[in-house]
Amino acid sequence: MKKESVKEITIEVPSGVTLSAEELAALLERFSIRVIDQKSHEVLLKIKQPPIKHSKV
Amino acid sequence: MQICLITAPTIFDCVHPDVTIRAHNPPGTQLGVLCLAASAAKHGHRPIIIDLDAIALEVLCSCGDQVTADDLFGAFVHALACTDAPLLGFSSICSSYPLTVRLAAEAKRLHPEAYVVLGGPQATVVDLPTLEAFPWVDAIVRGEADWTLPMLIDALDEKRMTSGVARVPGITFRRDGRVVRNPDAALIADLDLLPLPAFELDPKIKNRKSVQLELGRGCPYGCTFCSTNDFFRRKFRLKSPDVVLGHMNQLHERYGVTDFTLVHDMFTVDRKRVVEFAEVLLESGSEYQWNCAARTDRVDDDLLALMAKAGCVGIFFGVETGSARLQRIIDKGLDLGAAWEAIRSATAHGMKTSVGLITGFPEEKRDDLRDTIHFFVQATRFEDAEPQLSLLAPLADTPIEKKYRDQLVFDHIYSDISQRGWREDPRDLDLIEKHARVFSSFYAVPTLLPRRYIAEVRDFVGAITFWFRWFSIALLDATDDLLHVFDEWLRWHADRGQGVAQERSERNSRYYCSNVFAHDLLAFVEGAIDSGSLPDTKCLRNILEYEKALCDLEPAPRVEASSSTGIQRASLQGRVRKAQGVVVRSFTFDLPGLLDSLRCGKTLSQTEDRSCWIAAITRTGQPIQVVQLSEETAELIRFCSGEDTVEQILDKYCDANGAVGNPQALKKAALVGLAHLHEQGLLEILPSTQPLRDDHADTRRCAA
Repeated sequence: MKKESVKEITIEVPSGVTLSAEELAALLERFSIRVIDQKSHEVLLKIKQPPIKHSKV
Repeated sequence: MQICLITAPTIFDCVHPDVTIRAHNPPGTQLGVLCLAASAAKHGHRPIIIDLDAIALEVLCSCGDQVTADDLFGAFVHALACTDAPLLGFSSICSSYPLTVRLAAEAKRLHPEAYVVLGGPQATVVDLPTLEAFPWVDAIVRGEADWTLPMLIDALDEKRMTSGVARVPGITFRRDGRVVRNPDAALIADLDLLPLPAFELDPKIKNRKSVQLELGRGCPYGCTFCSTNDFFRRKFRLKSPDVVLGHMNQLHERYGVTDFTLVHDMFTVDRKRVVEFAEVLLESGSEYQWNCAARTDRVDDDLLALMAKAGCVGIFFGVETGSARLQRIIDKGLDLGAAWEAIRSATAHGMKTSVGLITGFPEEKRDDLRDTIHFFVQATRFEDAEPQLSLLAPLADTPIEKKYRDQLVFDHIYSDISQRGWREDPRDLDLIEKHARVFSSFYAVPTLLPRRYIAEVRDFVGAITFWFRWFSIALLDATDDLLHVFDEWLRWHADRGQGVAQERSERNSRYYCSNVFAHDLLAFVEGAIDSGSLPDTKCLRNILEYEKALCDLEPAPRVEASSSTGIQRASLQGRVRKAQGVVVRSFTFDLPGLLDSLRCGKTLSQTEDRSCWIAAITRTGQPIQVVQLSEETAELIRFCSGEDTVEQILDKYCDANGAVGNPQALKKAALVGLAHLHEQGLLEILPSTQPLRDDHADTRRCAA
């Protein structure tokens, strides 16, 4: 087993595949994903909560 | 002498324990009670605490959704029955004051010999009417009680009742059948003299990473709606930085606390002292995170940068109204442009912001309401900003309440400041109706706009920004009049007429908090655009398409990492498919660009007609993650139907792209792509039906 860790992304690939760090970085860019939004689908109790400041009134 | 301090309850919801527990997430036993317990202990007394929120959470956790308000009340009363302290001191806030009064009655019934005392922000301002109305309350300690409560206990210890109590300042009590109000106690000038709050009495303290600590007291401003001045008065006081840091260090060393909510209504009034505090933190090398409250006109970019560097991760900004006219009328006096800039600056320095707004002021006109909801929606452009819109509650003894005391109306439309549950207990309602002076925050001041209209605007705007953050901004950009959108919404409902389900026809807060509303809103907007009552813009159409695509997604069960089989273990014979809860689709417009435009306030015509691929990842209990996929990522995922093995997918990928590359290099690329997408949770690999081949059983880890 050979383990290299550069930055924080670590992926596992089957044996027989050799990759340089540069090659791998290029492939990860090619198959990139980027978070562009997040949304809640929970029941909306949140809007029933009072502002923090009013905890004292 | 032993004393029992009881917190002011804040949890009433029994509709859905999981949601209630998540929504409340109490920061621990209330700080005021912990402060008083520490002061009492310092004076040689033995305090115990009944934390009603902790009891409520325990009952909710153990009994699930079968819990009723009566169950909670019964659990509270049981806790009271278990104490034999001769003094029972109830803390109070406006929202739970009726319940506190009822619990005080139970305490007196259970322990007729005990001295029942109320204190805290609410009892302080309604001391006389409370004692006149509720004979089971023996006394009220007004204002800061760090010194006066121990004095009261001493007085009671000497000889039960009266003679000593008469000399304790800041006390309202009974004597010979009359209610007597002693002179106010002096303010505590040097807050450094106060002991560390008695966190050891919080039974869950060892599990808490975050607690509240007091920075100081007193606000020099005089906003007409605010009750702070009645309790802490206008004399601005701060604890010294070394004392606050010392308390933080003690809590870190004893309990591992690393996050602090530093409580002061107006911490940043004195810029020099904020700088001093930040520098002390920085020099100490501590890495605590903290949040605080500030006025937007008492911060600047340099100060915010320094605060952020010193660990400040969140600020509450009370902006109150988006109307410049009302800013003057309510004596807040903020420059709204500068307020916007402060939020922007805090966000740029990595802080989360809460932006507090209020609607329902007596002088509020339609334009003022529109300005306020526009400020609310504009604030949602900052993803780390949490705007909050509340209905005005006439808090007892505030300038607004005093002015309209004789005109208060009880219309059963409650401010969320006063009401924290989904419904009021009928026994509380009975008290509220009989004692308007005591429970004024449940009443309403007269308004120019109909109260029901204002309340529904609030629910509508809160819900639309929660469900469809970007859609609400797009609607604002397209119409520049969200009140018009709301009026169209009302018309749409009216046109549907009778026959719709009750949950839709009532349009109460629960409706707006449900996904029934979410579906209705999308149908309404689509129809309104088609009929011409809302502008037919490309942006609105595109955002509508996006929101519709996500609206019906059902969260997939959370998958434990260990139950997923990776490529390295499954071999090339494993079959690959999209992970449960992942939906991939394309749009014919530049969705990431459109969202960026909405974030930045760019005009929407600047977005391009460039198609894109996205994946939505849904997991129970987690927000939906929307990710942009590169063309090649999307192509690779399309091959992952669950029918083909890794090896077959590599072959197909190679066939599809054979014209543009070396087959071995393509296969290698696709293999890395599959491994990457699997690790990101987009793909899952089903176990192979064939035995592992030795040449693929070994694994190597590569890193980027």
